[in-house]
Amino acid sequence: MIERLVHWSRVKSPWVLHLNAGGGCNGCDIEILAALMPRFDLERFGVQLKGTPRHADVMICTGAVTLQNRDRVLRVYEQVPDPKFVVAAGACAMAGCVYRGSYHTLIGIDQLLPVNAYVPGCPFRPAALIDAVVKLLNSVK
Amino acid sequence: MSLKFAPFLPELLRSLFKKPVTVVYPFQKEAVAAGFRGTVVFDPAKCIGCNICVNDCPAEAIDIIRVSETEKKFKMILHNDRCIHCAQCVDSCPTKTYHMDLEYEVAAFSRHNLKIEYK
Amino acid sequence: MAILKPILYILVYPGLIFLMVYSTFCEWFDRKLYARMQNRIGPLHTGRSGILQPVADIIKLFAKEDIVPEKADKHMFTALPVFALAIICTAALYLPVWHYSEAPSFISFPGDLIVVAYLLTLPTLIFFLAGWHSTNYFSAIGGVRVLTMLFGYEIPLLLALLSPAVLAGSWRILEIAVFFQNRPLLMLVNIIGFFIALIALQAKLERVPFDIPHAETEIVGGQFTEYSGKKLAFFRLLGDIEMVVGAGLIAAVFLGGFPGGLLPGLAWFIVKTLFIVFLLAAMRAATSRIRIDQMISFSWRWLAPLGVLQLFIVIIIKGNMP
Repeated sequence: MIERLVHWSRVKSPWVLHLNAGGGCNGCDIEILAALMPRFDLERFGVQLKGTPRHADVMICTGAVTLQNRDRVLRVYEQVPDPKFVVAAGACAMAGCVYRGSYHTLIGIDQLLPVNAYVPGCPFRPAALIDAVVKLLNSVK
Repeated sequence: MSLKFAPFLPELLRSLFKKPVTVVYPFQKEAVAAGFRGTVVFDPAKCIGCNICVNDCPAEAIDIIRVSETEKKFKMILHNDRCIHCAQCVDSCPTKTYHMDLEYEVAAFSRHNLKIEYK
Repeated sequence: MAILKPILYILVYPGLIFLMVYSTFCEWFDRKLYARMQNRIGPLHTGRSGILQPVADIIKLFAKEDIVPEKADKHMFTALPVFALAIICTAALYLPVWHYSEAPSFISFPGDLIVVAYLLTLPTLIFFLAGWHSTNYFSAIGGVRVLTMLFGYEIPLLLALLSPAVLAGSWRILEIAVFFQNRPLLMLVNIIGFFIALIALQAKLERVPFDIPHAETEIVGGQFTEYSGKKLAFFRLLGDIEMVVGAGLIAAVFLGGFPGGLLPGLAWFIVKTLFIVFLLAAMRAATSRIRIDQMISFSWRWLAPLGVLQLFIVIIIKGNMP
């Protein structure tokens, strides 16, 4: 009973931390903002954008992870309290995109963190992000 | 300092009684614009194996592999996690093997599920 | 029988249970109004048109991992949220909701207006202490901003609450409410004070034009940066209950209280507090965040002189009253 209640509340109120992992063109960040704006309105699902990792449940990562930023990304991830989910949004966060083979980026954020969902696109549509969030929430056990 | 007090107030009260502009997305989908570049689609019958697309792709997302030794048959592996949807392959292919569809809801839980194989 | 009423008063109405249920409803109402004013839908899929959204938030926070930073002061860090919630629930007990004409509530006494104003100030101090004991740069900056803002809005709020008390000639919230119920036209005298109290309440709740202490774009989470899990849930609940208590106080002092027994009084309470929550939501939607120096100079240049002016008007009318 209590477990079902807790599961219900977890699915219904995912708070989001938006993390730019360093590299990238900021296109994906703008699409995330577009998903929060009145046209798509992520707050329908109870999503709130939070400034601090301590309040967040879902970490949306954009941009390629630069070597300078690698330790910071790990630190922010460790500051998020359990249970936590990571969404790699955009081609840079997923696989490095056009920065592949560059001397200062990792090929994908999943070299560093366990990633729960991938959103393809360069940049993705806001609807694609909502699609990923809904798929992720439906798959949470 | 010339501060106008709450200039948006009439607009706010008006939109309080209007229908919201929000598209209730997963239940009601908007049509995608005509020139939208979604996922790359490959037609193996037309491919001549010239590898121009592999060389041109800025994200190294395309692999073309020869299937049989004797015939000119090729399969293509699209790494959709790397693809930046620039349609460079559509432009450079001499035999019009590629086109882009309008699919964008391709989120997955694993990067291996994002790999698409056309043969 | 005599002991039953205080227990009901503390536990059911307007004590813990009523406050928790009604404050979550108020938060939903506020969020929905805010969203609709921005042409959005707001919470939709949690319960019927999202009415259970604040409940889901709080249950989720209670079930999450609870992190205490290594360098933080563990005892203070843990005790402060509970203290703040207890203080604000105590303040709620002074609201004259069980409006029996001879014995309104078992703790109402002459001078409880001052006590409620004092109890509403204490959470602000606790926010500062919470920020300070987190030993985080962002929390420390947020805590200092909380105190700086306190110097801005506290005096105008007290001046605004003073004028109806002077007009009614009493420091007891109930007597002020009864005075305005008997002479409803005199409510119009306090219209400046009403708006000053609304703006000061908005600043006390740290909502949008005055959300300087936990400005997300500047100092990640302000005084709540290090708080997570249960303690953050306590602070969120505290914010909601503070909104209800502040709205109830303003409704009791400026809008004539909640007359007529238990059920009509409850209806009046809900109508009047929701009206004030609507005004607060409109203020939140119509403005954007200002800087801390703008906030202080605004409150000392406009709010405090207007409060004094309101007091003068009240004294002149009081002198000429038959």
